[in-house]
Amino acid sequence: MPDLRVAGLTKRFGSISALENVNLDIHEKEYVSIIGPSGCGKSTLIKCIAGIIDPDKGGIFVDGKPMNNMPIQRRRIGYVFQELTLFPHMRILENVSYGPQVQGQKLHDSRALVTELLNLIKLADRADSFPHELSGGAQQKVAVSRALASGSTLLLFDEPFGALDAKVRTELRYEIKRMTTDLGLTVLHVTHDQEEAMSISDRIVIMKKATIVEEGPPLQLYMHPKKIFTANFLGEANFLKARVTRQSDTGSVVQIGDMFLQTSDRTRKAGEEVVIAIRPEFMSIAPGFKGENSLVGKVVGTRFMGNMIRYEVEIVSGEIMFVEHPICFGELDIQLEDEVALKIPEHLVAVYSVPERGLEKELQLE
Amino acid sequence: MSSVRLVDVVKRFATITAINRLSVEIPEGEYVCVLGPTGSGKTTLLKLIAGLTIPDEGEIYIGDRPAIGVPAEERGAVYVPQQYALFPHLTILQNVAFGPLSHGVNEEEALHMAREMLEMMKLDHRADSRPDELSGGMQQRVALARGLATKARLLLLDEPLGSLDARLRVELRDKLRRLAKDSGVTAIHVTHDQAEATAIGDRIIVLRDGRIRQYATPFHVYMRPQSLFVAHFVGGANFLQAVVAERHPEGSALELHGGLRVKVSDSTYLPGEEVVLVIREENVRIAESNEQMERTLYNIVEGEIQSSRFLGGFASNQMRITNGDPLSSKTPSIVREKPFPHGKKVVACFKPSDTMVYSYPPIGLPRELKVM
Repeated sequence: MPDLRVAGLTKRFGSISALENVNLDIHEKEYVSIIGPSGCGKSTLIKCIAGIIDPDKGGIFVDGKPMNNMPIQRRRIGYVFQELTLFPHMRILENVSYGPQVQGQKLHDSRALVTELLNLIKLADRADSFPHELSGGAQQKVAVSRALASGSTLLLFDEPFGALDAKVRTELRYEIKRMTTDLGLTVLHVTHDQEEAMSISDRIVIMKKATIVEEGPPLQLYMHPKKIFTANFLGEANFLKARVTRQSDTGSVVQIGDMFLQTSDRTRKAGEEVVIAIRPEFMSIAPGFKGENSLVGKVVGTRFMGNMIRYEVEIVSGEIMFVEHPICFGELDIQLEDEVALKIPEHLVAVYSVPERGLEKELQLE
Repeated sequence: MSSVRLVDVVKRFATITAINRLSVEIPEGEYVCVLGPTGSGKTTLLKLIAGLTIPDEGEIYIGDRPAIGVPAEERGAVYVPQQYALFPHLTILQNVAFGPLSHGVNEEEALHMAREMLEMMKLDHRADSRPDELSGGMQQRVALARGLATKARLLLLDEPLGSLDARLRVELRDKLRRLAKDSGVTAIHVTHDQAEATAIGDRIIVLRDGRIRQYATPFHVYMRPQSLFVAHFVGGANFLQAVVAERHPEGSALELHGGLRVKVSDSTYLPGEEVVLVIREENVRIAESNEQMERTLYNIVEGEIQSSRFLGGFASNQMRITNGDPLSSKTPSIVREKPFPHGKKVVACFKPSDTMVYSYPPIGLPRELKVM
């Protein structure tokens, strides 16, 4: 079973840097997703690993073996991308056995494996169909089987569900994840869908401007992002400028305008200027103008979002905060212009240094 | 005037009826989202209003004037297709300025409007680039900016945020709504993303097979879906087959597979009728033991966790309950951060008032819910 190592990978297209000294280790049987704004280099990275793009510098190793000058077909890496790419004139069975045949196996010899793979994706009864007779979702499952039939245990997914309808997409991602887990495969998956990445990955890698910003398990990255960019890109957050007024062993107190918030952060010094980040669903909103560990303000917008209500609150220091109240917590009697308090659990206030280039610049997605 | 009215419109392509006797009225200044699965007729509907496709039957009015026979550009509408085409030899600024120029605005004013739009789309720093230097998502925003800059009174947008990164989509959808509302234009926005439609529309048209399944506010579509299909397509839900066991004025008791009984507040169906019980995922709570829940307020069923996935703000939990039925729950992460381990015994609880009941569909439940 392979592990994958990317060391010091650099790639430029003319004056544009697509990868800048990228290092990444992926362990055996790990499912890793890469997310980042368009143009961050995530597709270039996966194409370098697949062998479709040659890097300018740096190495790619599978199981310790260098891949750099190895031709694509000898890398034994399965690659599935967004476009539906089955051979239109071949039946499903022939599509899936294409790889083994190119490698010199007779159709008869690969048949058992191919049937097993089609069974896994519950498409064995469609073996004699042509691709256009299958839905887009089913075609992508066949594409994954085809990638596996060549004996690859390392799979690269480049937006494999990107062309599919939302409902189909959600079902398919869990099905593919189950399959790769059952077969013990190692997967590197590029997506622009943050929820997709969180739902199926052991680890998420966040890229921005040709470099890796942060990586970690989904829960940790979402609940306790170490970087402002992560807090902004993975999910959503409210960002406020604040100043540390008190620091103790249990945490710090920060000041926003005339308001004070207790945080669990212990890394700052009193007097330091900071940026704090709070996710919209980490706050609870209540009528009234005061509350424990709360910011106070006035409701300037409300919007029904299905499973939650989204409130836009102008806090007394002037900033706009978005707050999401899950419907399952019960209905609230809060109207436009009402005064409200936003209560925030202290361990869910993220505290950051003020970015050198300024907060606005740091929050730009491209 | 930029209200839109369709009366009994039919559009066929060979043997396929893309739009099937559709009537709708969209008042001036309203932001309407057209939501439906692939192949439901969304794009055809938009093209009919834009004048790019002629209906086989029926009438279309824009304002009070019949629109059929009126060329697209004289309808006071701007159509931004999903497959946008930018001029490759022009800069981004020139591309956007083309919108107002083609609507007879003088050059100076057109460039001014173009700059304004690019700023809104967060693309002002790329004004001098050529289209091929931009990512697909950026190009889409340029096409959208070009459409918006025309200052047409009727915006017809086909998946305007479709190829954008999920995070950017959320940011831009609020801006798009605000822009339309501030300028008082009528907007018809086609999307297959139910969260986007809910977030942005004054009302939503849910389309399936060329027919309107519901036309209502996001609140009504979500809370009072008129059919099983709408309940399924807009927001996630559980669909369980059941038979009415008892009926009282204040509610009914349903019998699920295996004789499992639950209370619902609906009392429209008669004992013995086959029905479908619908429970939104976020209305199913999970507790580790049934002592934590008030029996008089909740239906309480025992189950076992099949999978538990962290999705950010929510965790999605799939259970199998005692009678063998699957049941999904969405739990806010603020309540519980860590996913449940596979196989964990839990109790699932839901209120009778948080359920919806529908007649069992004649075509069968799987086909009724089929999205494609």
